[in-house]
Amino acid sequence: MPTHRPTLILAVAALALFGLLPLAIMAWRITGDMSALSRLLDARTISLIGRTVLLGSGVVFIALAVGIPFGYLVARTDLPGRGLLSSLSWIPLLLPPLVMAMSWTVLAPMRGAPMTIWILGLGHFPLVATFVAKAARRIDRSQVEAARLVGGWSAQWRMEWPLIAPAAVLGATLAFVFAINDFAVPDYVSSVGPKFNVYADEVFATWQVDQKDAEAVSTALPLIALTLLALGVALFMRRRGSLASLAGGFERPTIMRLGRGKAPAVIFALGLLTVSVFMPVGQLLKEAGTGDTGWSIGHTAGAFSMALERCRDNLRASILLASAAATVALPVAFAIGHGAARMRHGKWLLAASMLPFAAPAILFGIGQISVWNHPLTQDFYTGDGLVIGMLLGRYLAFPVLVITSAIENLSPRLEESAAMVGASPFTRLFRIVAPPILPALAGAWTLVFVFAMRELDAAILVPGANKTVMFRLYNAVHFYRQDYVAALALVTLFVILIPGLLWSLFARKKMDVLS
Amino acid sequence: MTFALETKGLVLQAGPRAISDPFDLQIEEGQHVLVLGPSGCGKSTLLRTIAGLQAPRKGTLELFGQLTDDGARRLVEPHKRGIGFLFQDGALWPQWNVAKTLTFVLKQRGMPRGEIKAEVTRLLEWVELSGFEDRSTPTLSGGEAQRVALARALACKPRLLLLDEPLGPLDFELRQGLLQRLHTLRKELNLTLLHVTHDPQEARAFADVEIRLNHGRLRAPKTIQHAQSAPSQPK
Repeated sequence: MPTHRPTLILAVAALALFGLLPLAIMAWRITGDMSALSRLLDARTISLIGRTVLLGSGVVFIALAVGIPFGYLVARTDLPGRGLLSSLSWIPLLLPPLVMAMSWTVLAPMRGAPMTIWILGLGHFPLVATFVAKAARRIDRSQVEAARLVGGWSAQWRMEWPLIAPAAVLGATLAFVFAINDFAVPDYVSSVGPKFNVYADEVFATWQVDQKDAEAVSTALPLIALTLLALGVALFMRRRGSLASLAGGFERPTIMRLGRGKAPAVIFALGLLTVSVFMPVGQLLKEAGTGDTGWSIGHTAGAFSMALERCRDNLRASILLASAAATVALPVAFAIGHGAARMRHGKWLLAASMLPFAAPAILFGIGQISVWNHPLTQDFYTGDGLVIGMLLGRYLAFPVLVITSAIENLSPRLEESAAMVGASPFTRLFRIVAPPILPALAGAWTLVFVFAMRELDAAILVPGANKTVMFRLYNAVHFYRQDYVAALALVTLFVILIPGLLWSLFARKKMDVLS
Repeated sequence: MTFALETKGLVLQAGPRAISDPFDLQIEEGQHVLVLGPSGCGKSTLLRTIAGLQAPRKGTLELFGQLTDDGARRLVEPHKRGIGFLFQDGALWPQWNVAKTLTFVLKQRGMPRGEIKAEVTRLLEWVELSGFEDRSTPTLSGGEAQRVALARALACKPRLLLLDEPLGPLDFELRQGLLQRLHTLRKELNLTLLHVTHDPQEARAFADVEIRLNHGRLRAPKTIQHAQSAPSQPK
């Protein structure tokens, strides 16, 4: 069924203006100074590529090592409290990486590459766990039972692994993309120990020194190539294995009893959540409440009250900007997602919406400056509009992915039967397609809100984003660190977690959307 | 003579095993026509093309004397063709209950607000589901869902009803019940039925003509001979 053309055109225009135009301008700049490309052959550049790949590979290793067993356990076994554990496992992904770095650099003496890999690995294992859990739940019961009858547990696992592996690879490639583009964690870890500079760091430094766009772009080219490669893999894997649409008559597999393995499984799951959630959050709580006379509730309350007093405006600005970005992104992603799911060449829409995310955030921020920092657009450049546009462009890939998957799982017959009774494309889009995928739409809104709240890398460069709470935290941890900073990090976490957890607890149960 | 459906040199856009030769087909008004053939031969594509959900590659299609498709050019929108469509899976909208589903259709068809409730009641009586107004569509059984889908199709006041294996998932008794209901409604409302099925034995008792799609071709329509004394013979 064709999508509503005017809505799709408006949505694609928004993507082009705030997502693709900044990238196109940056690519254009490089043609004006081809000599900048010579930097790519520097020994330093090659060493940076090596370090960045090391970082990405390390993060992928951790994410796979803990994400696969965790995802399988919560999806298919009688692990006690698996629903709650599954919801809690989202928290590390929602935590701003800078906040994780603040805690872990105090908790452990590791520094440099191991610490950076550890923090980003823990932060991104939920991507693997979530996709694995989803894939494991979507293997048909009769297939599992047939394998079990043939050769017991080993036959079952050998039958299931090819169906789960694409999901694990998809989660791992996304973790890789997040890790190699992260600027805040390597930057912060380097500030408290030996320098571990990676590509994202270098792009920012190159631009900051003399603001030569061409050099920043050429420096970033290998990073962009790596990211595109990883996202290509992710897109390819998206419809593989048991992530493909379910056939009619599907029955969920039965829950397996862990038996004597239950205790080790519980210890593993709780241990993982302890190091990825409870320890970093606990460290912040300890820091917020520790004064000259040790930890006290009074001191904790004082730190929170100081955080709210000093940073209320930053918090308010962050919440408003993130909410606005999520609210604007939703109809845009809905229109693009419908086109991607239903149009013959829709996968190109999906790929286009992922491009802004494929570029390093720092480069994306520089691109926004290049597009909008002109006398004619000065008010827009310095105001909230650009921040909302930048967040929309940067994070549109996620709601588009979620909504596309949800629509692909919805029978096209629903729209066709509405077309047969005279419903217009607009009516079909908003009255037939939207209601059954409401949980996916809620998930899409939440994802943009969460990513927008924790956005720091591109926001460092855009003037309107200087008032956000993440920017305030970034400055605070680099220049002076007081009790209230830990309290502010906790308040920020709380604000980020609320919509994510609400969605995870209620809406996610109604529909599996992250396929 | 005006036919309910008439094609000239029609070529469908379909898969490699589907009918690829141009074909001429004429179906008289009020007939119940069975469409038979192996999986992948293009039966559903034929129905979707007639409904306007998919454009043909070549040829012309006329419905009740009106040219609706000329080559790949669609001249009449699906909802203006006087067609009702019963999908294999019912394709009921999961967000609404039965009454809201039918109300949505009647509003789309421009029925005045004051008349809708009575019409919903009448439609449900037709499909023998009186009292089902408040039932949520996902809670309906297979047979009930298909009857609601039939009511939804009838709400458009169709002259031609396209049935894309709507009885497939139902058990024998439900299939017989729905076939009987369709037969009665065909007589009452002077409907033409084009019925894709994998199980022609049951449907033959109610049908007048069968057409067969095979080896890339559409065979000439064949009149079905009914035994006069057959107990299930509806005529």
